[in-house]
Amino acid sequence: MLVQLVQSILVVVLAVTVSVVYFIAGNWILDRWSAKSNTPKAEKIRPWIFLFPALFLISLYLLYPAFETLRLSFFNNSGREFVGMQNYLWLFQDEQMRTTLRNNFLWLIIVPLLSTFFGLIIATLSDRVWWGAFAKTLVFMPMAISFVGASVIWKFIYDLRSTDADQIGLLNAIVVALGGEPMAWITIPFWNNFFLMVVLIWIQTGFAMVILSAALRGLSNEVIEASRMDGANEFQIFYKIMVPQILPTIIVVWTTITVIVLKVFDIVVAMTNGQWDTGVLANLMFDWMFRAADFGRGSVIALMILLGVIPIMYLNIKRLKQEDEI
Amino acid sequence: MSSIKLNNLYKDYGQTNVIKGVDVEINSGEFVVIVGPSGCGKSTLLRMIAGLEKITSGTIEIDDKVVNDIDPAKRNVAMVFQSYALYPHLSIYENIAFGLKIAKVDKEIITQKVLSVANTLELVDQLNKLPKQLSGGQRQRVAIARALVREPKVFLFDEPLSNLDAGLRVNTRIELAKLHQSISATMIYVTHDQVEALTLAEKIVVLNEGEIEQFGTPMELYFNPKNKFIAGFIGSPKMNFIKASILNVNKNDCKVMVLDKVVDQSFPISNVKTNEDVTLGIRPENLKSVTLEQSLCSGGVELIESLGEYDLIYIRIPQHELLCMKVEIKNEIKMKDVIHLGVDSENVHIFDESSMSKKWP
Repeated sequence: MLVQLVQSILVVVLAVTVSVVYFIAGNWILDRWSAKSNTPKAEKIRPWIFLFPALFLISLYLLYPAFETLRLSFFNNSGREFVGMQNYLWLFQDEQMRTTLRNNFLWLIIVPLLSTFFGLIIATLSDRVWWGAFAKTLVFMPMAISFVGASVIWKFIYDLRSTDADQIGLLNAIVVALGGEPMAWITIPFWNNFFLMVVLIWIQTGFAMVILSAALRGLSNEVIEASRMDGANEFQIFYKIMVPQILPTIIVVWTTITVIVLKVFDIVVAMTNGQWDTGVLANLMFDWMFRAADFGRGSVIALMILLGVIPIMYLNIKRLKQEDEI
Repeated sequence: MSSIKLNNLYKDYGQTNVIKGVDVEINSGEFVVIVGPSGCGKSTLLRMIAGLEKITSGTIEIDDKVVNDIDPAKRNVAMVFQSYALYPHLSIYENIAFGLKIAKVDKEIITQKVLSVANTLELVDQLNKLPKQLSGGQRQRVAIARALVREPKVFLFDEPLSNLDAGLRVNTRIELAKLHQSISATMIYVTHDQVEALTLAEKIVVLNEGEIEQFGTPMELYFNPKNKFIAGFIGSPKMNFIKASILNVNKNDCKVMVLDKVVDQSFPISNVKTNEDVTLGIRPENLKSVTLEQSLCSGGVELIESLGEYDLIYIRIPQHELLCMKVEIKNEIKMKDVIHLGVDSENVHIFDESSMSKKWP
């Protein structure tokens, strides 16, 4: 324990010292060089000296793995034998893969849609009641729970006990109380996807609500009153005056949740482990890469996820640039 | 065109009373300005007429119909807000057309009406732009256009000029006056600027701490203020107030003492008692430089403001705020000169020292 502590302190000190020495020395050498040659070249090099460590580390930990994944996708399970497009062909022919892609597509559409929608509704309505702040705290609370923790909570809600025992799962308890038959909810193919999505919607609604609530607060009260004078009713004020004004924020919330959805993994692992047709891409990638130890197929799936994120990232960056211009 | 009647109107926010029993009758087609210091409740009063604030007690009648519980949009009133309150995501055309679209007016009629209003307010070239692309003055005109297009019976203006620069403010003021002449709708206009009030209004309501101090024409308020508050509020530079005590009363003729000096001038008032404390109110244009014997009081010149047309001379006398005297530019008054201030008896307003109400004229 002590040895590890001393080691980590040493590493921290060393890393900081090396960085400081690097920058001071780099600067000093450039200063001497530019003093001698008196050219503006040194000033062109200077920013690169400061940028180099960051660029180097990003290349090492982000760019290199990305290209390595691309390379591996053309190789067999051990990563040694070139197999051409075989992994890609498998991707488009595999039955399980098709289910997974469908599931992922459903997640991508439904979770951001419902999270943003509920977030917006709660943000709007909570401003109109005296217990709004309390309601918001409750809705926001799941944000603090890890995906696995949330999954465990919801597993209890969907829990099924044998018919002679009491149903401890909330959903089955309600069903039984209403005179229905208890069901193993998360094993019903296709619909179980939605039961899993509920977990993420439950978590992300809080996020959407907080951001949208702040945006709604920023709206001018006089503009809303003006629309009321113009005869707009509450619904018209909401979707003709308020929503269009916070549309940029809605898009930010939407895309942020979309990116989170693309990476969803823990919920599926904790709830069903991908059984009963609930697998998603990240889940499938993990299975092939580490459980089946097939680097080729694992890499192909990883590339699919990357491909899915790119358009969203492109939109986000474009928006950021537009905001900078304003 | 419609008449508006406010009957014993009250507005409370919890324990705070903002409007305390306001009674006003506004005739059809009148331009009424509600003026008062900030926090006097004038905007609240306007918002109550608009229907944006609930009424605690009392009634508001438009055309002899109580509208207390009628929706803002159905009162047939239009409001122009201080911040213009344009819809930032809609084009100018859409901004003006919004109310008509909500009311499901026929598309062609909307276009026709919007174009006609845009024409009146010189906004035709701006119709496809967004509010943020317009200047302050143009935005203000869009806000007026939006009110105008609905052809309301009553226009409400909430400090519409306060976000404009001085030059534009004067122009827009003139435009508003012209607008009122051309459409002859009832207009209620809130401002804290008494110059706007005097120039625009047919009648002025002076509001102070939620109560009406005086309701009358601009000239009534200027020449015949009901109390010291009105006297000090209306007119710029404001009226000078000089403390005095009554020396003796002799029928319609009494003498006063200012700063322990007996004033050699008689005032034709009778409703005062000997030794009573009063305040003399004198407008800057009525103060004049006289000889020591004829003067009310004397003091040194502390500041001279030359405004081209006339000079404002600020004079310090003991125990008072700076007195202001308006004089022609051709004068020989210099800084630190001692001026003996005098006034013609008929130009003096006399206020009760404690109740501040007017005793004379």
